[in-house]
Amino acid sequence: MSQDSENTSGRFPLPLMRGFSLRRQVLAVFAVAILLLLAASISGILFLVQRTEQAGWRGRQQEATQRVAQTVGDFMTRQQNFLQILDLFGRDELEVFSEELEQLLRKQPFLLELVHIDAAGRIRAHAPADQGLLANLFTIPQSNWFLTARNGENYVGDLQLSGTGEPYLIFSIPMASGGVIASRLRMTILNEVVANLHFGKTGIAYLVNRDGRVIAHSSSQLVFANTGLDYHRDFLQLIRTTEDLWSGEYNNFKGEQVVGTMIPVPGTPWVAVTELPRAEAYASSRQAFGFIAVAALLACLLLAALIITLLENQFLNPMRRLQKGVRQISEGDLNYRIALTGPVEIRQVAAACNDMALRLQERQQEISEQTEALRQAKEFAEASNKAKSQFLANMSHEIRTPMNAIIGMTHLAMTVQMADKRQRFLETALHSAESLLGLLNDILDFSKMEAGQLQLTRIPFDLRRLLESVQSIMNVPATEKGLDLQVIEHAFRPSIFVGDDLRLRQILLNLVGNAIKFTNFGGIVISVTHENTREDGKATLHFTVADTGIGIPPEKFALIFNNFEQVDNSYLRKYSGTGLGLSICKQLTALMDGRIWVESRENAGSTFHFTVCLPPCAAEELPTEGAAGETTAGPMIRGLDILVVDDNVVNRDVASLMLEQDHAVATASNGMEALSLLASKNFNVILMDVQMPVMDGLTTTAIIRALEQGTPLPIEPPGNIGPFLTERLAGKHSSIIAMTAHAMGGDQEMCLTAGMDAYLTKPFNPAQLAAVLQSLVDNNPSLRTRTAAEQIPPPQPAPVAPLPVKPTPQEVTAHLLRTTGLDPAQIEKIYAAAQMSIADTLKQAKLALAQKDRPGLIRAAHTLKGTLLQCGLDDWAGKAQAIYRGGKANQDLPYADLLQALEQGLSRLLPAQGR
Amino acid sequence: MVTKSFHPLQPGLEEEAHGRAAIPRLLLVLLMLLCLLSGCDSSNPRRTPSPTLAQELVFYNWVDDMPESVLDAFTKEFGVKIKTVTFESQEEAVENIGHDQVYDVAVIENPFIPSLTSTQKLARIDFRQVPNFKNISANFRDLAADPGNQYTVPYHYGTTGLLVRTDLIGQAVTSWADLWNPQYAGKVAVRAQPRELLALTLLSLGYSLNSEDPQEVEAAATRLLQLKKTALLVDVDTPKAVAELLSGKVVMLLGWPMDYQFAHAANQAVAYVLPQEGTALWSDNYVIPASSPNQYTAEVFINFLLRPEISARIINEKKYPNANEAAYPLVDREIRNDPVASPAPKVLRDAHFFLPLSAKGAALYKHAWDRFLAAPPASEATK
Repeated sequence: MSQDSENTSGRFPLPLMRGFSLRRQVLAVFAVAILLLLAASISGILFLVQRTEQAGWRGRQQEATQRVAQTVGDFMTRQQNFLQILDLFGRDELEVFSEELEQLLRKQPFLLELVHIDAAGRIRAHAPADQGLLANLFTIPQSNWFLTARNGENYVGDLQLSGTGEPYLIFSIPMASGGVIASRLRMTILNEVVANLHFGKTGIAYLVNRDGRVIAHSSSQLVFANTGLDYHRDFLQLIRTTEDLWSGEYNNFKGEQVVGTMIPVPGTPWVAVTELPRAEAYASSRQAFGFIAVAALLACLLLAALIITLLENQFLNPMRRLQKGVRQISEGDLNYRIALTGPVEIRQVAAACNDMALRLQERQQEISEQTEALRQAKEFAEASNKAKSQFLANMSHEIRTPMNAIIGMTHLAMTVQMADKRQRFLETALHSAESLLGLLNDILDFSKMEAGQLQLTRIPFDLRRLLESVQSIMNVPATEKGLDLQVIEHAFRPSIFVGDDLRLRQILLNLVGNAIKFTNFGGIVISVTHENTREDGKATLHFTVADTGIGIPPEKFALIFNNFEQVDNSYLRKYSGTGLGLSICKQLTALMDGRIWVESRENAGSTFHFTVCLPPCAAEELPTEGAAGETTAGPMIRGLDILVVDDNVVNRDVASLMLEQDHAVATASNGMEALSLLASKNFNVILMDVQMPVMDGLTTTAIIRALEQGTPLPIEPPGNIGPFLTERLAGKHSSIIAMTAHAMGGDQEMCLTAGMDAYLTKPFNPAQLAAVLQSLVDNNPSLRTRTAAEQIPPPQPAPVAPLPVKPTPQEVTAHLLRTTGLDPAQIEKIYAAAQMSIADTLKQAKLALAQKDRPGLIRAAHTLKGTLLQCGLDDWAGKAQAIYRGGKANQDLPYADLLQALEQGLSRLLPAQGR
Repeated sequence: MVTKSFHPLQPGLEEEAHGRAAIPRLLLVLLMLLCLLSGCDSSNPRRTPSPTLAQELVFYNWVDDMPESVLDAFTKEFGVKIKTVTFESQEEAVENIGHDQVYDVAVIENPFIPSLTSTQKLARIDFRQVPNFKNISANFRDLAADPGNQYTVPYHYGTTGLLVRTDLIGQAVTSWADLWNPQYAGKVAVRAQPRELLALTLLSLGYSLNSEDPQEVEAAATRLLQLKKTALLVDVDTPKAVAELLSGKVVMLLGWPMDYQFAHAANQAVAYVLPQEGTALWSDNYVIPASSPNQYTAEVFINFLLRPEISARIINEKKYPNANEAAYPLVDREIRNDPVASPAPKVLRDAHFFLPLSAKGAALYKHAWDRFLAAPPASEATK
């Protein structure tokens, strides 16, 4: 604290009060206050004491002075009275008078002379008989003493000094006869009169005349003294002017400070003065002052000490402790608690500080926890980020691979001459495109799920059929790899549930796909059980996908369901894939109120479990077969007038090519063109792209609907087609299918709100398109009615009879016709390609065998098997599969024989040599 | 001052706060306190500083009255120059002083003192500066004109008499009435001193010198008018006045001892006659007009003049009686024996004194004098 006050006082050069510590301020204020108080009170007391003393002395002095005046006055009166005796003598006895006078004179030792003067101023008698002074005056008639007495008043003259003789004064009285008796008085007598008057210890009394000359004094040498030039004129003035009584302090003619009183002596020109030296007068007050001052000082110091101690203990020390405590806390020692001592206020502050420290501690705790959480989140985010970057890197690869294939294959297809080779190239390209599409869909799904936009549809579906479709789809890749695929379905009723079957299938496909991918030999088993029924009526279905694959290490069980994670994230991984699949499955199962987990042993196999909760539903709500995405042979719609509106020429071409086999197709590149065409021709179905320049799909749809329903148009149709449009469209309902590349939820709603009837996501395949058309027709009987006549009776699904030992081309083509539903020309093409493929693969296999190229053999066998399956030659496909499996397992089979058998069996299908 | 350490718990900490800072403060306040108390003196007359002499003194006097040597001696001793201003008559002097003309020392006759003192035109003399006052004869102390001798210091006095050319006049001149003697008509000279003439006229008629009786004054005035026709009015100035006498143009001159000294020195036949009715005594005083700014110097000057040797010098030179009796032992024997210069006591005792007139009397006298002045002068008047 002292340092602080030191610093602040350094800033202010006049540190009277500012910047000082509290203690100094308090002390200063207190000191000044006390001292002022003391000064005031002491002054007051002393003043009173002085006044009292003064009054006392004055009183006494006045009495004494009165006494002096009285004494002197009395004395003079006595002298005058004596003179009056002479008056008794009368006028006649003048001669005798002189003698008598002389006798009388001798009796009065202080009378120097006596004269008797008549009214005219002439001396009648005088004593002593010798000269005398009065007797010889020639100015008697004009003398004051004579004239005054002649007027009837007694007169006392002032002291007269003479160069010769002693001092005297003249006093006179009137006589009855009109004359005057005068006398000269010896002045020394007055000294004696005055000298006896003492006053106090050192006080004196004296007589002084109006000129300030001392007439009589207790010490006679002071009389007649010339007191010098520093005589006080004010004192002189006082003497001259005092009529009655005056008391006060002054410097006397000796220059001493005295307390004096002066009274004019009646009947004389003198003033009686008594003086007391100031020192004596105020002796007691000085003593009192000294005493009081010392006592007060001591008291003051004591009080100061007391106050300071009090201040220290009760205030400053606690304050210091407070300060120390607060500083310690502020420096980081949050465990420190200030001791609660001292006065209440300090204690309160200390308690508050302690609370504050506590809260600081808590806050610190919170902060560190938060920091930890943030750190973890940061780590997590970084990890996530890293994973995402990794994912992107992977994606890059995953996307590029099929893209390369597509591009490469397309190039080759364009350059190659041979049709079957071209076919193969294009097939590969298509395959790659599809797998790329699958990847993109996955990514899209993932994004949707991340954004929380994924919505599950709720439609009734047959679980059994779902499983069947999964099996049929996955059978091909499984068999290719030589793996078994089984579906074990624990029969339960009902098997119809309400949910998003597409998504459910997605999960299964994903799991099964993974199982196939990561399994080299053995088989995959899909099973489902009805675990229980929940309170809300939903059934819990437990699915498992078990394989005999490479397995998953236990530490990765949870990891694989994470985004972008794969068991092996390295560049050299053997198994390609985005790593999204399982994550998507996890999200989907979660959306379906279920969960997903895995059991696995490395090198033995994995079993993926997942559960979903779906409400069962009644059978009648089951939709017709042919849900979108399935390739089924159902009654096909043919012969519709279809308008394809798309600004992209490729899209237009694809769509129109897909459709022109069965329908009449017209194209428009934007909404305007579409309207123009609609004005000139009726169409059953309009495939409307949503994003188009000039006029987009939604607007066009809105206009069409408005024209059909007769409501006001949002925009006027171009040109003069309005009336024609109105004519054609009014009162009808065209089926409009939206074609959009947007996959986000909400798009669908938007299209349907705009007035579209159905919704296709680009890219779509013919089957999807057919399904949509089908659904439209189903919903719109008028369509069905129109096309019914042109409808080709759907081929009944005839059991596929096993082929004779040596299949013929015709059989194959018939099979193809049945299964694909394409027209003969297309079948021709396909058959030719198959022919080529069989021949090539057999050759390759033989070559590989000869070269002991086992991988080559396996590849050829695999391809062969696929083609044979496609052609419906299952037995022969099985043989090829045997070769494939054997090769894969490194079994020692009579491959040559097998090949030979195949060759012979398929000899009919092989093209002629040399072609 | 006790320096206590009030920090038993924390030695060394902030002890300067009380110890050092408080002590000087306490001392200071204590000091102030003491000053306060000691200064509690009431009504303490302030000491006047020692007075200093002035550079110059203005001395207002009759013409040719103070010997130059005396003035020079004063200047030599005290370094104060004296400037002499003269007046022709007392009335003139009184009037000037009454009009607050600045003079430091003036010479004023007794009768005129009361009018000045009553109008506070004279300063009270601080006799502490004039210790030589003790040299003054008792005859001149505490007279009616200045009771208690507060305003005056007696200077010289004198008689009024008749200067007579005994060689030109056969019979003796013994009375004031001789002025009106037809024998000497036209050969009488008087000074136009109002009080003096009237007073002497009164005396000549046998009245009191100081009569204020209107009838008497009237009679005197009438008689005086006669004199206007027969007398020559001359200057106060001694040589001029005496010149007339000496020239013989005038055989009788109403004058004073100084005239006699002058005339007698020139012509032994000139006698100074003190008439039988009684002479009129006049007495001059030193006064300090209230207008003087140099009272102290004036007092010193007066005191100087009162020195026996100085007064003796004045007496020796001017030869007229002086109130300073201490000077007489130093005066020339001749002067001491000269009846004119040193009148005999009997003469003095029988002398009349000019007493101050009352206001009524002064008015009467003035009226009479005005009539005198207005009257046509003597046919042979030379002025």
